[in-house]
Amino acid sequence: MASSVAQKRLFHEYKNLSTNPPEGITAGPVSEDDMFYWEALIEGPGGTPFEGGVFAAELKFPKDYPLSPPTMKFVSGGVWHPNVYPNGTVCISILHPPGDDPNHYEHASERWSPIQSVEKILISVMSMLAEPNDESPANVEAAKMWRERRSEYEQKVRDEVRKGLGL
Amino acid sequence: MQDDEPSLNIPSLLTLAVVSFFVLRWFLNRDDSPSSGGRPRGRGNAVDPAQVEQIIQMFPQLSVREIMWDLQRNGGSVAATTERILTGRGLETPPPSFQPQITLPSTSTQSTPTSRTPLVSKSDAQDLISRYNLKGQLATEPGPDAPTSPASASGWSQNKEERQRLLQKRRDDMILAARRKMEQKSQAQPK
Amino acid sequence: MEQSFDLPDSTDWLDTPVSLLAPLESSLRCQVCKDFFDTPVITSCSHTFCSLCIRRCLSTEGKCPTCRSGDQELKLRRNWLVQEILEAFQNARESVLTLAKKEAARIAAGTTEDPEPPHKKRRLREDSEDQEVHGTENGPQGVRTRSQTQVVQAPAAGRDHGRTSGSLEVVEDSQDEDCEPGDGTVACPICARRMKNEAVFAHLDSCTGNSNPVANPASNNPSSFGSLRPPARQMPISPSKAPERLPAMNYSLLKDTQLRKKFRDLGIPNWGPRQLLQRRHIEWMNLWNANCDSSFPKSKRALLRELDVWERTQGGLAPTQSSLGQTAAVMAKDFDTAQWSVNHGTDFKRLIENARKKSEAQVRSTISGVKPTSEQGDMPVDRLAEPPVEDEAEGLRAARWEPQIPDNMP
Repeated sequence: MASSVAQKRLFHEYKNLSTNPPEGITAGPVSEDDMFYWEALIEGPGGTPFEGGVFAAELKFPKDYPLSPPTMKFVSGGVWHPNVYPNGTVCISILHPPGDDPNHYEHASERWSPIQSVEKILISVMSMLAEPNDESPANVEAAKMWRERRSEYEQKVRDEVRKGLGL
Repeated sequence: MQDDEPSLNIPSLLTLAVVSFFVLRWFLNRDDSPSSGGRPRGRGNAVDPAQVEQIIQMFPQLSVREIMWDLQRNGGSVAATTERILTGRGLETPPPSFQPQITLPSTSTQSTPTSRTPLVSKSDAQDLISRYNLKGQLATEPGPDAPTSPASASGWSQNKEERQRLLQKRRDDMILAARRKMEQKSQAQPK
Repeated sequence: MEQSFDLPDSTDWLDTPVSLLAPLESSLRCQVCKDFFDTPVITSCSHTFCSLCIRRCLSTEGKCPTCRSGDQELKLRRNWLVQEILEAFQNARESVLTLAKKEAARIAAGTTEDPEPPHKKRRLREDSEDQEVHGTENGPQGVRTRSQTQVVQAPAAGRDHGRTSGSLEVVEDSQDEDCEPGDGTVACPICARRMKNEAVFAHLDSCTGNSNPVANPASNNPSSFGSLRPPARQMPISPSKAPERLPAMNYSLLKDTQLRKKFRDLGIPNWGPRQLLQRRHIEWMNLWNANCDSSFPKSKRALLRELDVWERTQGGLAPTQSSLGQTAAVMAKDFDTAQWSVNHGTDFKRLIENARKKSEAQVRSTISGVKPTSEQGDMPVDRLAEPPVEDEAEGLRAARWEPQIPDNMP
């Protein structure tokens, strides 16, 4: 049994997410040959412009997972959101290791720790969609629009949600 | 520290090979991009549908995906695939992430390289329906596909392939459900 | 990659009538590795982890993963109770699960003429759980009614080291064991010392049982306590040959040659750049010290094997490490060229083949799309792990010829 701790732990998480998936979340490795590369689907939270949408993201895990956090990136067009970089990379405190705080605004308690999990990340991202944190915008344009022209922002998001579903 | 003597041995050759391979690829890609036209038989997923059809006619019992996978892997050689089938080796099951666009021929025009795989992170937007090739399933009503996999309730299996299939199924279901809901919604209240 | 596909997990219970066991099981699992606790230790902030997991966390971050309060390796203490509960649970797990699954299948089949068993089962299960917990807690008072050799063996073994608290109130009174002194003291069931009633629990934590190995004849029912001792005596960590813990090293004070010599003395590989040496030493220290905690320490050879796994997944031999680390391994003096060629010969050949095939294909190719340049800026780790592929087939091929997973190598 030479598979590393990380692989085993990811397998545990995969199984857990499959047998007991949280509402609105589907996640698993793209192929079990590489447990360090996952793909996840998140449903847009209800009561927000993201409602009804489904968003695909890729998760890449480091070899020393769970000591270090994975990275998460929305694929297929990204997401118009203050905390998502235009290229789709998600910027959220749970994905930042406690050591480095590029933004100096996050409480250490919100950041990555080995007891966090894929499930918790995805749930955090879901709530991030509902409540953007515009203190540290990753997408300045989106943040500006969100702050100043809320209705336009919401319309844009709704359009993208529909586009994402091929409508 | 360590001795940094540059010595030519196999591993450094290997590294060199990897690097030059990627560089080469990159250059070729770049050069090719403008001329992307309608040559039917390229690398990747651009399998000629005519070939697929040819094989399907010979061996109707095989799945299109398997054929496309094999064709793609052997560089689009019908002969090789046929021989493989005839020698009884059978076709390999394609990996779950292999998602060719199964548009069986009739139209001779091959659409530009379709079927992006999850490994490609494209900059431009692309909807989930085409990303996961769900067009076909979209047409079918939700009713009939429900009973096809009673096992999906548990979402887990001891079998690797089965597991992968279940995951894929849950993923597809999620997207299709969202899409149908959205369609209903927009019908109810047209803009 | 040879994964065990029937990885037991707390979710195994979910589809059974005893789904309430899932939270019980998940609380017996380490939050870091999601596996059952292996040698559970408790931090000074009272969170429990596997010894090795928490050591790794502390050596990277110095904080408790759960509450993020600072902690030190030296303050870790064994958590025997958790280990006992866990062992009891693990012993029962398979049979209970089989029963529960059978029951679930029966219910699913619709033959529910007897709906009672699942509940009964759970009650039984909880009962025995209760008893086991009580058994250990109440041991001193002689409430224990069943002999549970297995369950008890670990705590006694562990009482050997680490604990000092609670021994203050011990009253040495070994002379008149035959008569109950009537001064409100009771005898420790292990070492038969007498002490105040309240002090027994605290004392038990530190009691080694060594002071008076002969059971107190007056403690009228030796057999009921017997289970506490005998198996414990074959405990592996006898003070004489207890493996010594490795101290932390101040790397900055040591010159390269000294460091390498130290490594040789320790018996671990000493190649690679300094940074790698440090990481390796930390890992070795974690492995070693966690092993010292274990009731069943592994041999040094086994530990070295684990270090080797680490080396291939995260250390100097990790294929996805930046190519720098890779070449470092290659350039090392003691690098085994022959072995390397054997390991990578086929990969190498396949690589050439692929490259040829692909460049041919490329010429004929009609595919558009310059590789997104944003990907180029990514970390080198990413670049190797995920070659900039355009299609699935290549991706898979790439995944195959890259010796990403340690198991690929002999």
